[in-house]
Amino acid sequence: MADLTLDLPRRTATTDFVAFARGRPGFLFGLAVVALSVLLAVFGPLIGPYPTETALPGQPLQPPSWRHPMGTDVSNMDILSRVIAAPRIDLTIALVSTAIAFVVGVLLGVVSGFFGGGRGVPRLMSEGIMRGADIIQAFPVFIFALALVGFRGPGTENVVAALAFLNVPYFLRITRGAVLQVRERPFVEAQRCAGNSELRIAFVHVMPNALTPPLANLSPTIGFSILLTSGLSFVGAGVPVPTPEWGSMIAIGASNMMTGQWWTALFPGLVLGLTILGYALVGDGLKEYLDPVNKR
Amino acid sequence: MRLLKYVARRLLVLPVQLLIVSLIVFVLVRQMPGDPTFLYTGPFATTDRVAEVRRQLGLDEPLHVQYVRYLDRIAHGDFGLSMRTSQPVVADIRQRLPGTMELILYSVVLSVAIGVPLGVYTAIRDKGILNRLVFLYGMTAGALPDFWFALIAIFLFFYTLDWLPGPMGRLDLMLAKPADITGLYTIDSLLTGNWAALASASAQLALPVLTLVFIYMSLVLKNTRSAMEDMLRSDFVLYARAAGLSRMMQWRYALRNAMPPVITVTGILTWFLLGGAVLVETVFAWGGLGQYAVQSVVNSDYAALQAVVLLSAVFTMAVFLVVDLAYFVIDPRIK
Amino acid sequence: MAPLLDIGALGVDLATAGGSRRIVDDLSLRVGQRESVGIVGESGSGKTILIRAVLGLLDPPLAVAGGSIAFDGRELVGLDERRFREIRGRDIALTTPEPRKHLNPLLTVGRQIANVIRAHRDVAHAAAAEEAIGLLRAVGIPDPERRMAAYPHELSGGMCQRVIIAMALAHRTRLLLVDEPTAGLDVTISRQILDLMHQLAESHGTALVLVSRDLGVVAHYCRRVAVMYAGRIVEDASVAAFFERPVHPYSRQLLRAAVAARDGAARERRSSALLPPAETGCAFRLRCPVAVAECAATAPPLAPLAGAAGHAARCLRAAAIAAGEIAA
Ligand SMILES: Nc1ncnc2c1ncn2[C@@H]1O[C@H](COP(=O)(O)OP(=O)(O)OP(=O)(O)O)[C@@H](O)[C@H]1O
Ligand SMILES: [Mg+2]
Repeated sequence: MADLTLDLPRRTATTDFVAFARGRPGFLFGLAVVALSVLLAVFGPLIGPYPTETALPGQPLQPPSWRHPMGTDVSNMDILSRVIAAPRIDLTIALVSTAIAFVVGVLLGVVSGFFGGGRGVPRLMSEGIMRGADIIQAFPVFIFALALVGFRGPGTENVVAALAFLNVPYFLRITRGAVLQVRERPFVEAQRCAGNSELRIAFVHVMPNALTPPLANLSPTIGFSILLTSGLSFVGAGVPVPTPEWGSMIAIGASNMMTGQWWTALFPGLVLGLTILGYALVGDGLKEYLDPVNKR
Repeated sequence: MRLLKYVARRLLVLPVQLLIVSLIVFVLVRQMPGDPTFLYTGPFATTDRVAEVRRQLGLDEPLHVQYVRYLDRIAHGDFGLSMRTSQPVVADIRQRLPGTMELILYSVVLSVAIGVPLGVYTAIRDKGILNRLVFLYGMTAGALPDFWFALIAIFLFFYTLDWLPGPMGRLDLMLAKPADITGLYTIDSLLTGNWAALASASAQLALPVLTLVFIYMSLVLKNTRSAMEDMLRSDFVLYARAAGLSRMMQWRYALRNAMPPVITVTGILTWFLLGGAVLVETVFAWGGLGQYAVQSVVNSDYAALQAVVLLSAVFTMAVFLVVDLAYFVIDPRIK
Repeated sequence: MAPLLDIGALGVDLATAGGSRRIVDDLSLRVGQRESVGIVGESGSGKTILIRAVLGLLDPPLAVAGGSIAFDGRELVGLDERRFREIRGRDIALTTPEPRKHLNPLLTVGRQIANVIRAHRDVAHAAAAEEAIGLLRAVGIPDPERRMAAYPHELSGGMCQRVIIAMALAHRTRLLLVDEPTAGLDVTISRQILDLMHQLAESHGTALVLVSRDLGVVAHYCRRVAVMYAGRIVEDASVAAFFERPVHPYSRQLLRAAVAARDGAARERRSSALLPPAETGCAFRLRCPVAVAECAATAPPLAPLAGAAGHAARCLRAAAIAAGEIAA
């Protein structure tokens, strides 16, 4: 047995991750997009060359030029400056709503997963949570978002509330699925034997081990929330004008598209699409990275 | 017989689901800020008048009584008056529903007709330029905002190339509507031999359907491909191959087993399209339910909004009921 | 008489990110007409891969890397898929472990058998169905007319295995490859299935390659036995010779373990049983009680034993062990 030496290369979390990312251009692109969007959310409104909410003097609807690389819109606002400033509101809404949905969804998911299939009150609670999720998902997402904002009135907080509410079932289901697996592991029984209370086991021991799937889904959900926010704003039920926001910029440019001023809607939409794509790719990459099957 | 039993059982649950959905909508409506009475009386009404309207609207009753009344009214098809159109909401909806149905119908049919074969093909032949293109498409399409894509399509095909009509509703404004049989212009005009209307309705449909298909077909395509790939790797296809069955037969075995997930995703697609239609209808001034929903929101037309939300949930339940039935027919393992 | 199946120096590679790995190496095996050969070896030794290689069923990342497989004088390595299809099911048939997973869940078993019949013979659906009923009856399924309409999930594991056998015997197969026919079945059902297979093979004049981890099964149903370890055959002998006088140290361990299991004796626990095969020299040397320094240097060939016709072993010390000079 002496000649059997385990001779594995040294691996750390960082080198591992770098090696993983290096072979995946899509993932790298996504990471770059996420990083850039966060930077723009912080500094975007400050670095654009022109003001973002006031009309410039002169001719409106100028095509792209050196002075205005993305042209100007119908009120002669510089589109580039506004596109750069938009992540502040879009990303804030998406991040806050996703964070709320994550926390609520994970907590409910742990409860419903851990106590599902039991008996008595916990079981009823678990069932109730799942049926509630079913009902929320019985409504088409966008229509429900529209209705929530419609009944509560427009405004950023209401958009956040609507998106958070809509995303809860999503995190709930993912977490529940993970919890159902984790709770079968031997260590759970061991904790039980050690005299831990059920609640303590659920939240202290099971939950941390079930977080990977919902965490991996954070990024695509943020992307999806940005998409919904821009859709709501596009129809005037989201972020009010003139706050720079991609969806409402596209709405402002909509009628110009039919008369040939393509730059008005093209650029905000392109940046919006790339951003959503970036967040989705980061999600895909992380899912693959965190999947134990891919680890030797 | 088995099927009948299953349908009966599923239909039994439906009322319960409807009840819960209606409750949600009821609660949703109570989310409104302020007192809805003033929407009817105006802000300067006398207190007596306000109290009277409150009584008329039933707002002075306890909540559960209000809910029962509300149920009673919708059970009788009374959704109230739209404040924007001053018509009964039901009449408004009846007028607009076919437009949305037409849009969704063609989008679903085309997405499945293109997405499924393409998904199967790319799963079977896992190399080649087509596969790379399909991969890129699948990755990007889902990320693009549909309303933006619609505008780009309008710019290209209407403004620049002038191949297709502009975003002005379902029919050329100069044409009379075809006789109302199903409410779907293409079908009604076909049935009545109204070729001018048929041509115009089809042309008007082209861009919104193109948009919806482009954005949402990726869902069908990706799921079909992965389901098919999984099945091609399955033990029973391997065994079919070991038993000397032809390639074609192996593919048929795989395809049949890939059908249940494909059906599910078709249901999900329809559900997505109902939401997607809202924005695309708005871009194309389609005059369907989706645009109606948006107008209701923007104009605080609560009665109308409430009805649309309820209807969309009912529609969703119907779609998933059909999905479950199809599943049941295909898969003998479901009890 | 020429052997029905003649595998010579076969290699199978598994392509991985860091190069390729040999899964089956320098494997030679002959199966005569109507002969029954057992293949034994621990899990992961490459038995299934070997069988799939014979049927041309290896897909990337697995691929045949050298050697030859002659079936009835015809070379199978490199045969194109269309030609292979004609052989599969018609001349060489396969049964698998976990039969239910290998049946199409959405098709009635009658239809699946009929499809196998129609894969090689141009008969109408109705005639094929008629024939399928006969096959179901032949494999001992009661009330075959009714069972034709059953779906795999409605049948027990043993029944599914019978359906698989029916498919394997749908044509006048010359060679039947049987992979772990009894995995997951209880003892009595296993016996019935094996008896059925054996009897049908006998009556059809079909040669049998029976893969099993159970030495007893092989002893009972086969005339010859080949022991696989780490993708290679380490011993090849007649059943009588093998059970009387196994030569390879690995064979001896297998046999001892089997006897111990039969007698219900406490399982011999050896930490060395967990060691992976060695990369160089003799693959078994890390677990071998009689390994010497030389075993690390050279990988021994599968060599015939002097004075024992038809008995070969892949061990440098085989002669000494056979002579009883050392106890392995
Ligand atoms: N599709 C595959 N991809 C990669 N490696 C594989 C594949 N199939 C088998 N292997 C590897 O090939 C080796 C031999 O596998 P094989 O299935 O032939 O073993 P076996 O002897 O049949 O084992 P068992 O008794 O468990 O069935 C194993 O190490 C396995 O990990
Ligand atoms: Mg095996």
